[in-house]
Amino acid sequence: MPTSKSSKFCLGSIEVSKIYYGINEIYTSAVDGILDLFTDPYVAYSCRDLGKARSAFTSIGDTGSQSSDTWVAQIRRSSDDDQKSFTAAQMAGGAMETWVGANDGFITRWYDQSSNANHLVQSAVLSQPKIVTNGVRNADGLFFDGADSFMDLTSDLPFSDGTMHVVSKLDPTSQRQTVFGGAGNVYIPVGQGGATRSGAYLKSSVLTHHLNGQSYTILDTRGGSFDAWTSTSEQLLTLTGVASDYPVQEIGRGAGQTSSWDTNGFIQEVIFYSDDQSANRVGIETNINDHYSIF
Amino acid sequence: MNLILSAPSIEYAQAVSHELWMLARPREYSATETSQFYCGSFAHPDGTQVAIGPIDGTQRVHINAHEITFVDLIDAAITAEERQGIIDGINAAKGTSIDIQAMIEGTPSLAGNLVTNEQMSTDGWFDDPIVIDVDPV
Repeated sequence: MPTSKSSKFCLGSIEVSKIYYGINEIYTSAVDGILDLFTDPYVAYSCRDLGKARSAFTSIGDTGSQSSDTWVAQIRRSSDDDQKSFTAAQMAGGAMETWVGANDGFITRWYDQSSNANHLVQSAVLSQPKIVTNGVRNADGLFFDGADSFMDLTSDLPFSDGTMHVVSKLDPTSQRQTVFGGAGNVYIPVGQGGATRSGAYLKSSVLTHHLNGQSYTILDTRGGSFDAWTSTSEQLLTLTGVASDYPVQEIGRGAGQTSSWDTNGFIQEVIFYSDDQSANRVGIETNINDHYSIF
Repeated sequence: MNLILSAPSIEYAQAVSHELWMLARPREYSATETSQFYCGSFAHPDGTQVAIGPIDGTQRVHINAHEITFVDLIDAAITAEERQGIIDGINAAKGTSIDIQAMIEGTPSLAGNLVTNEQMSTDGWFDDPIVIDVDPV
């Protein structure tokens, strides 16, 4: 049963934005989401509802018939490979885990919650990030295995002065990771910790970093560690002035169509604006942190 | 492991990966679904070779899998005896699962084209981005 937490409904520690009785929506969160408070992002991926007024749309790629709702993700279950889309309320309420059963669940489509429908898709089963392990949803989000898993953007992200918010927990012991990649060696690296590599944004650049709401200066010394992106705990990283020479095409893997620079860890939420959102940075970070309690 | 294919066409690689997945999820069941490929497909930067991978692990073989469609696709790269061996192997696995890598290893004409990521990296398959330093901001 949902429990009340001030004005929110929570299942355990997870805030629920909508509750259904059968097919009838009987509760909608009064808490404004990022989509309600700020301008429409270029892309927005999360397994929570980022706006309480999102419009329903038809699922894409479900097994059998398609249906309409405010979907956030589509899952493939390992037991029979069926695929089904879920709303944030269904995911938070356990419906997804029930459907997956005591097996594994993989993300086949991470629906874009912005108005641009630029969904993340992975149609190759061995490259799909995992969301349910042995019947239990990953508390930290989508798991990218550092080897093969990544997702393709439906449309490229061309940006020159973008703002990016990422909630993640990426393995700091895994070297040479990237999160965003594309053709032409475009990559925004997680950071190559360890003794031999230092980090950089090659053919891409970032003006400012904020880690968990605090300004973070890159101390990029060869032989040191460029580890703003990695942590043993969940964190929120905000980048402003994000620019690249080439479009970003993938999340979870580095440059080009093949790379060993793969994301190793969990990604919970990615929100990207194609323009400068410095004026809204604190508000956006506060909204994210109110949900995840990161800092 | 990854498999280098006989024809240097990325469309051919995608077709092989697709038909491998169709063994688990025949098109009459999967036509509307997001998942359409068993694994990734990629091309050597010099344009002379394509490969699919990773092909580790086992996958389900549907009771109604169309094994002939798959073997027809790779027919030019295998002998008649190997073709029959693959057909027999897939038929025997229907309703259960099959180890794709083992199936390839058991096909001499294909087994020599299995390569690891490390081998592919050495052979120049992966562009290794140049790492540069950035100034502190």
